Amino acid sequence: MSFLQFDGWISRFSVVLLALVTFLTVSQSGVAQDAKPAEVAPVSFYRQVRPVIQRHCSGCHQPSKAGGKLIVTSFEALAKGGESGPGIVPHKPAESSLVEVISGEKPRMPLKADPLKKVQVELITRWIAEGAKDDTPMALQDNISAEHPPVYTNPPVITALAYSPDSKLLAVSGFREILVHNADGSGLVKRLVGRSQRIESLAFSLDGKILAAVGGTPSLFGEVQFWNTADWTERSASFASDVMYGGSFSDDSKTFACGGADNSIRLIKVEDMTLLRKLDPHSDWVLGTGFSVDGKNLVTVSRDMAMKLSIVENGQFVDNITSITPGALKGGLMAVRRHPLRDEFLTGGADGEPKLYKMIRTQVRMIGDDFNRIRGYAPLPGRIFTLDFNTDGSKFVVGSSAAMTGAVRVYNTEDAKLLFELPGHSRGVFSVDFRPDGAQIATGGFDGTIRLFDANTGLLVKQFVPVVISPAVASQK
Amino acid sequence: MRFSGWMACLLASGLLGLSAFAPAADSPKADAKVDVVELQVQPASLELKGARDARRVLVSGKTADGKIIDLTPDATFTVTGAATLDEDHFVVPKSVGDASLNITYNGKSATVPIKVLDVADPPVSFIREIVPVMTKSGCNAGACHGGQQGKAGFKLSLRGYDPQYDYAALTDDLAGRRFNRASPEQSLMLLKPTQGVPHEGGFLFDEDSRNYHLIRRWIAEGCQFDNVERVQSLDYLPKGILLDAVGQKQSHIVFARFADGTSRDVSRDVVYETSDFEKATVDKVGNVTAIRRGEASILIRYEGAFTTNVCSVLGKRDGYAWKDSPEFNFVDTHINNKLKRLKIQPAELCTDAEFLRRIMIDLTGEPPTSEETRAFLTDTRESRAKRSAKVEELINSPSFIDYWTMKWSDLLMSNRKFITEKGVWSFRNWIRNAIATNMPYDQFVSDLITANGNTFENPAANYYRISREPKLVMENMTQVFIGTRFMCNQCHDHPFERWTQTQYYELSAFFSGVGRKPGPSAEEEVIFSQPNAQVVMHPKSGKPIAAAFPYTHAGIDASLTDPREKLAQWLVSKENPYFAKSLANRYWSYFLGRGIIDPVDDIRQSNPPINGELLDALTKDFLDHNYDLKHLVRTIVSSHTYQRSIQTNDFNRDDNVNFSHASPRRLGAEQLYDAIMAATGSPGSIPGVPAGFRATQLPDGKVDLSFLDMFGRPPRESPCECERTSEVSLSQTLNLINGPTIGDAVAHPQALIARLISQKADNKKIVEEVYLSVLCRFPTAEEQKQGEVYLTQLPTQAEGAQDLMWALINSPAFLFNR
Repeated sequence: MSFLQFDGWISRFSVVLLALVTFLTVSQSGVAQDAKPAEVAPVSFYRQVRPVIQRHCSGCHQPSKAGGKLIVTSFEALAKGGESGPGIVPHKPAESSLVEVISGEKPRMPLKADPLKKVQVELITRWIAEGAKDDTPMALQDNISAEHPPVYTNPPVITALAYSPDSKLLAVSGFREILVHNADGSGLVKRLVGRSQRIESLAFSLDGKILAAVGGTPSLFGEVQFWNTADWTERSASFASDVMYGGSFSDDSKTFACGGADNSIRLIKVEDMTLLRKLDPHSDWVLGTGFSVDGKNLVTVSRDMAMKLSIVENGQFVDNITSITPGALKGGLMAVRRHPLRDEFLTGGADGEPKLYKMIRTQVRMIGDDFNRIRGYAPLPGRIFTLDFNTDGSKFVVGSSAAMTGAVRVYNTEDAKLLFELPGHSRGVFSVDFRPDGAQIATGGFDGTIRLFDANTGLLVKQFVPVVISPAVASQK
Repeated sequence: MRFSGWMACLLASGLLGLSAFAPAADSPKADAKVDVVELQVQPASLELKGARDARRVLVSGKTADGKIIDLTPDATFTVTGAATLDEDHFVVPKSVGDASLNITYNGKSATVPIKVLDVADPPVSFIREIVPVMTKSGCNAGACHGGQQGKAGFKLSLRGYDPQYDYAALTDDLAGRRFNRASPEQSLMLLKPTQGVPHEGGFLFDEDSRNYHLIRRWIAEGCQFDNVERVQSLDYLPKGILLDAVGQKQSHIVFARFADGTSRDVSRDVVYETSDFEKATVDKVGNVTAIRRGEASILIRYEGAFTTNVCSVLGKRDGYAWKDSPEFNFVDTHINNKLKRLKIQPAELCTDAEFLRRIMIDLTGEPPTSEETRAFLTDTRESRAKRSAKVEELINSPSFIDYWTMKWSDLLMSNRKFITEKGVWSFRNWIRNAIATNMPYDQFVSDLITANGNTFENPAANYYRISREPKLVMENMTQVFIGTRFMCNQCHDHPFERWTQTQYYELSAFFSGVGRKPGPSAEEEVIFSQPNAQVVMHPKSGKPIAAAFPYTHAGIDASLTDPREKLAQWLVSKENPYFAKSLANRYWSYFLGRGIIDPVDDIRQSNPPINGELLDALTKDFLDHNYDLKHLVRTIVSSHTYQRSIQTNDFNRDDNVNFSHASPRRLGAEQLYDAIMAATGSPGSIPGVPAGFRATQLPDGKVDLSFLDMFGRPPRESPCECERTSEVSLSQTLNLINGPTIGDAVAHPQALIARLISQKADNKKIVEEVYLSVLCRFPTAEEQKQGEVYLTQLPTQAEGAQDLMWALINSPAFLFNR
């Protein structure tokens, strides 16, 4: 467990607490300075050592950039050390490489930065001499739970939405949780509290048994959560050091795929959550995934501007589905969805234009070609963050954001006709979902409001904020 | 509200006592109090409008001997009444009403009345409060997220020039990854700079800082974008900094003024940079520290607005007393005023021999012949009179025309690569004619900008063959004619100036109507006005942009329809603050070795003139004489300043920028080549031109003479004055010692040595003639004696004479104009 995972509730108090502690220290220092302290309190790792290391060392020694094979973002990793041997040998500062590299006239670390202050070095040395104990309070690591769900003072941005296959439920991303609402917006069914601060993607398996949430906490970890819809129990697996994106199930509900901020794609066995394979065809964050109809191929899109095809069974990279001509691609791709019935993939990204591609190349690649592209659709303002087909694939909904404005449109897949512009989106839209029964469309985004539209008329049916706002807490802060 | 509320809470609980902040008690300096006779406070009173309107004052003390020292960091501040002090000694309001700031230092005290007019606490403004935090913290610096590619997938606009872009990056990228409205403290934009999560950019501020609280509050308030106007101008205190002693410090107050008439104290939010950290440094909050004698400008930057304060460090000046130096014209008055202020003593006048060589190289590109030197030195007229006469003679000589034609051909990039060989010759002749007739500078430039027609019939039209694309024409035009670098704002707003990216395209659009078509022969082209020949598109909107001036002034005839005529009128107008000034500054640099603003083609607020009064006076004089270039030249070279010796004294030795003495300047490539030929008396051998043709007369750089390239002949591919180099390299040295150019010239059968030998001149005559010819002066008695001894030691007189000449050519006295 990383010691950095303190949460919102506690840190609000800890800031005040810290301020008070600091203040008291300052106000007393004038008196205490000259007098010899009768008893020196042991050095606290959490309050004294951790901030120093976090501040001066963690930039280079973090999971995504482990300089000298050393990671200092968790107590365990710090103690283990890196290339220069064990970072910490309890009671023996002289044998701890951590002390060695930060001490001396011209310490080796921090690299290309001012040396640590003498008092800081002494603090760390003393902490090791005192036994190098990890005093991170357990409560600080995780105080949000199903029993103590998050309290909201502002609606969180909605980053993910998913209807259950039976069209009865609508899962919505929250902060540290998934909010399961009745699909008609009539009420909250269940709060699924987990560890990830951000839920970037939600997906029900086609058999309806599992709700998958993909996300994590920025700059700390990525996570996949599987919730059994029968009893809402959770299984989860953590990956990498940053958030995961774009989860999707194979049609047989046996395999799960997601992308990530580490530029990788992960294939996970649904049954036991084992990592089947890690694929690395992309050179930037992977934001969307989708299986072929037969489940044998995987299509992924990335901020690297490309849509790529890989083989599920062996992880082999097959082809760039989009053009590879330099300059032909603009901006990253941010969303992808497979046509429910065919191996055709709808994608969208920074240029705002929804595009439909066939998965399999049937002609030899030539310089400058874009053979797999079936058709494009009238571009939306800003960037496309989200799109979804209806159940038979005859229509799709797509949402975009231009920072100050947002748009949601429904198009006919075949003749590219714009059916509706869904009204009321004054800010960016980050998530849309077509209800499997074809009756409604849900949208959400920057403003934290869910909007439900009649899929056949394009009219707003209902809008609501999916969380309970507690203004009282806000004023207490 | 939250932060100040919390502060108020602490105050109420009595923890902060009287809200008096004394300097850190453990600072050793605190003991060393200076005796002052009175305290001076700026501003004398404060008005606060709004809960976050925090303002500070500058406190200085006057010592018994009249010196002013900054006491702002050392004085003790106490506030009573409706305001209080924050952690940085800024006065912040508590409630509407009156308050009083009491300042004490070493037994002296002062009081500043405060009026709190308003304690409204509006939502945090993204543009005025959040972007400045990011700029101040360096988030949007070029090496960090402000870089072309951003950093680690997160890109901000360079130094926050585009707040809308930054807003999208923070709130829209990756579906709002960087903020967390549900739990603001968990926002990446707070966790990263506080190192709450790993951040390669390191620790920037902590959870108790103003920065943190502003961002936290902005997120809690819903991450709103407020379309307010950005800052209009910056103002600062104190105006000009004079520091007597090394180590002495001075603090700053900076005000941001807005279009609605309001102002804010942004002293701790602006970015300070020093132009020369060897003279004075400046820290993050604007404390300037004197490092060593000299001058530095302190650049103050805040949200696209810039200003500069000048800091002079006097240092030790024991024994200094100003000795009057003659003032030949207004140039010297302005120069000497500055020198007196900085306690610098100017050099004496140079000798007549030094003057002659200097002025001839500067005006005609070649040194005097022995006959000219002899005539000038034996002329019995009063020195100043004969110098003036010489200037008149030279300024009207054919070689003056050759030399200045070359200089303008450089600037206008006359190059056969662009305009064919015939074009180069015809363009050269057009420029020659302008120089020969002393065409007023405004007309010269106007003729170029508005040129149309066949390039044979109107060679000025070559201007549009050299640069063929609106943006390029505009970049070259601004660099040459207004001395600014607009290319810096092509991709983003200018990082050191007020110029915006949009202005770059608007100004370029004046050239969108330049049509070009082939002429009757392959070597000519026809330039004509053709609307929308090359439409200029704005890169962001992707739409055509209309021509507009980046700044306007009076006297533009609105009835003009041709965009280039309009542009020319705007450009050469006497009201244009840059046009005449940049030329005066450029010409000054040709004679004094550096511009009053330097580099001469990089005029910007952050690059202030070393002597603003002088540049203004020079510009005014140039305008008063209707752009008379010869008059400008005459004014500069007639000054005592120009005619100063390179010999320094104890009180100007360390001055390299205030023109207190002459500085040796290496001869330019063509000057050097011509000087070698003149000194040796060799006709020279430039391929493709008749014997005796001078290097300065060559039409362009394509004439193959590797010696010229080695010594920094400009290739004429850019309008930058920096294209001509005057550096000294090893290959140059080796060539001078051992190369064929000098070897052939010294030993040439028609050269001076050969002639002297054939005339059977004695050693005395040879030594004298060689000195006169090479160094343009008579040898001293000692030099004469040594020279003669040397000549007797060699097998032949010719060998000895050639050696002597070679050695003198290799001396700095020859290689440099001094």
